[in-house]
Amino acid sequence: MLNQPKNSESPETSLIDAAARGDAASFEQLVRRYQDRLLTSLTRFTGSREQAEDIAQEAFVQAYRKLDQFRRDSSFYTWLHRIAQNRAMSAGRKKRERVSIEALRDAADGAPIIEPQTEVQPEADLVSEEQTKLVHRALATLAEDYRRILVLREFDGLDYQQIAEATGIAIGTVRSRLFRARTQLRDALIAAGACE
Amino acid sequence: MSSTNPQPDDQLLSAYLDGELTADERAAVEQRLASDADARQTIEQLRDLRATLANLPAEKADALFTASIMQRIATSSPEQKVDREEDQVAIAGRVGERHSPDESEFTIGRSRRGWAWAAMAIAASLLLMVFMPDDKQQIALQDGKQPEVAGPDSAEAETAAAAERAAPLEIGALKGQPAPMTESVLAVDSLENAPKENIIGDRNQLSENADADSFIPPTAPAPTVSRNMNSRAAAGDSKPTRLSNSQLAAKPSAKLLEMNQFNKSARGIALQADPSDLVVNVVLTPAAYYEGWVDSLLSKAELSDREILARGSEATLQQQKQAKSRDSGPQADRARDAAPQQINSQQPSQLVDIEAGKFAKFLSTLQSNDLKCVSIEVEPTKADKPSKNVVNNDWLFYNRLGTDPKTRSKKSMAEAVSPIEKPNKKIEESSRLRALILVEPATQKARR
Repeated sequence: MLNQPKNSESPETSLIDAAARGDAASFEQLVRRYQDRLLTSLTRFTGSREQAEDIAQEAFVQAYRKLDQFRRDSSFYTWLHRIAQNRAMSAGRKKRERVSIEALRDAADGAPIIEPQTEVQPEADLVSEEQTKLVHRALATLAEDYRRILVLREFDGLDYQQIAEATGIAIGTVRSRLFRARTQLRDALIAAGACE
Repeated sequence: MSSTNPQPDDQLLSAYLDGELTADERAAVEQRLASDADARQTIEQLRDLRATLANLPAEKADALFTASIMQRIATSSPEQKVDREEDQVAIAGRVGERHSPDESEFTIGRSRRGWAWAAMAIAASLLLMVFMPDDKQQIALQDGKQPEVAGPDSAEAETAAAAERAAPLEIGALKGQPAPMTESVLAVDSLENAPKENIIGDRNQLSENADADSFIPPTAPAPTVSRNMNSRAAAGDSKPTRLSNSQLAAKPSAKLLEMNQFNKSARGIALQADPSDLVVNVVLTPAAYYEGWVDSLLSKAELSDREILARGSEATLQQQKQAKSRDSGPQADRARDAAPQQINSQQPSQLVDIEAGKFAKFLSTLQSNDLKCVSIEVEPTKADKPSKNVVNNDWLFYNRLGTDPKTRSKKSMAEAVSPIEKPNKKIEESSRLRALILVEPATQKARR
C-alpha cells in the first residue's frame, strides 16, 4: 500500500527530511497525504469520528515534534499510526466501554440492512450511514487487540508482516487473531440483523 | 455455521482470503475447499464481511482539520521534550512493550539519566530566556526548527495568537470588559501580521451591526480595538479595515449574541416566503459573512432583478451604516456596547426565484468552500411528506450539511436538493424553484 521501501530516496523521504529540519509546509504535505487514511482507521477503531479527529491531530503534532527520532525502519505511516494507535488505546481504556452483543442486538431496530451493492443509488447515503453506525457498534463488541488488528487489515490495508511490526506480535498470532476478530464481527453483525 | 464452531485450521481460510499463505498451505486449503461445504460457506461469509467493510465510506478530513494541526504545530513550544509514556514507546518503535529501567534513549520518565538531561535542558532554556529576551526564534533555531512566527511584531503576534486561542467562554465571560491585553497588542497591524489563526476558533460575540459590503467592522468592538480604529480614522485613514476571523473573534461584545436562535419565520413572513419554498440556512465564518460572500456569489450567478424577489434588512443596514459614520469615538462605542444587540430581523436574507441549475451551482460553491462556509441546511418551510432525514417534528431535511461531520453528506448537496414533491430525486436544471436564503455568522454553538 503506502509503505515506502526502506532507505530509498523518494518524494516522501524528501518531505520527511525537510519536515525534520523544521519545514512545516513539507509536513503539511505529509498530513494531507495521510490524514484521510488515519482518520478512517481511527474512526473505525474508536467508533467516534470526533474522538478520531482529536487523536489524529495529536498524533500528527507529536509526529512533527519527534520527526528527528523517526528511525525509518518502517514506513512513515506505520510509525505515525503507531503513535495514533497508542493514543487511541490509552484514551479507550479511560473512556470506552465494551459493548456486549446483547446490547447490540437490543439497540438494533431489527431492520435488515441491504447487502452491499455495486451501484450507488441516491438512497445509498442513508443506508451507508446506518451501516457505518452498525459496523462501529459491532466493532465495539470486539476486544481491543482484536479490533486493532482487524482495523489495520481491513481499513489500513496492512499485510500480516506490517501488522506484526505495528503491533509487536508474531505473524502467527496476527493470523489467528484476525480470524477470530472476523468471525466475532460477523457474529455481531448477524446478531444485529445486518447480515443473513 | 462453521464460524460459530471454528476448526483449528479455519484460520487458514481467513489467511487464504488475504493471500497470506505459503504455497503448501494454499494447496491444502484449496484441497479442503473442494470437498468441505462448511469451509466453502466460511470462506463466503468472510468474503461478504470483507465486502461490507470495504464498502463503508471512507472518512475525509476537511480543510479545518488540516489547518488545526498546522496551527498547533506553529504555536507549540519547541521546549516540549517530555512525552507521555505511550508516545515514547510508539516513537521508539516498541509497541506494547515497556522499557527497561536501563533504557534512557527516550524514556525520560524511567531513567535517572534521562531526568538529569531533561533538567539540564530545561535549565538551559530558562537561562536563555532570561538573558536573551527575544530568543524565541533563536531557541527554535537551536532545536533545528524554523520559527513559525515571522515579522517584526512576532512577540506581540504571539501574545495576540495566545489570546485568540483563549476559550470562547473566557471571552464571553468578559462581557463588555476590555480584553486583557495592551492596546498595542490589539493594534490592527500586528494582528494582521499574526500567524495563521485557528480557523475553527472563536467565531462568536460579533455585533451584527456590520456592513457586509464595505468591510466596516462591527460597531461593538473591544474598547482598545475601537480606539485603534478611531485613531486610524482620526489620523486620516478613512479606508475601511478588513478584519480577519481572529480579529473579529478576539473582540468581546457587550452581550453574547444568540445568532442561532434567529426567528426564521419572522424573516420569511417579512419577505413573503411561501410555505412551500425551500429555506437555505447558511452559516458562514465571520469574515465571509461581513464581506458579503453570499451576495457576491449570487451576483456571480447573474440573477436578474426579477429573480431576486426580495431582500431583507438592507434598509436597516444602510441606516446603521449612516448612524455609525455619524457617531464615533469612545463614548459612542460605549453607548453601542451598552445598547441591547438587535438580531434576527436585521440579518441579510434573500428570497429568490431561480433556475434549479443555478441554485445547485450556488449550493455547490458554498459547500466546496470549507474555509468560508461552516454549514448549510436546506429545508422546506413546510412539507407534506416527511423525508427520511427527519430529525424532529419541526425540521425536515432533504440533505443536511452540519458542522458535525457524522451527518455531513458525502455527496454534493446540489445533487440531493429536490423539489418537495420528489424527495431525493435529482433536480431538473431548467426547472425553477423558490428559495429563502438566510445567512448568519458562525457561533461556537453553531460549530457544534
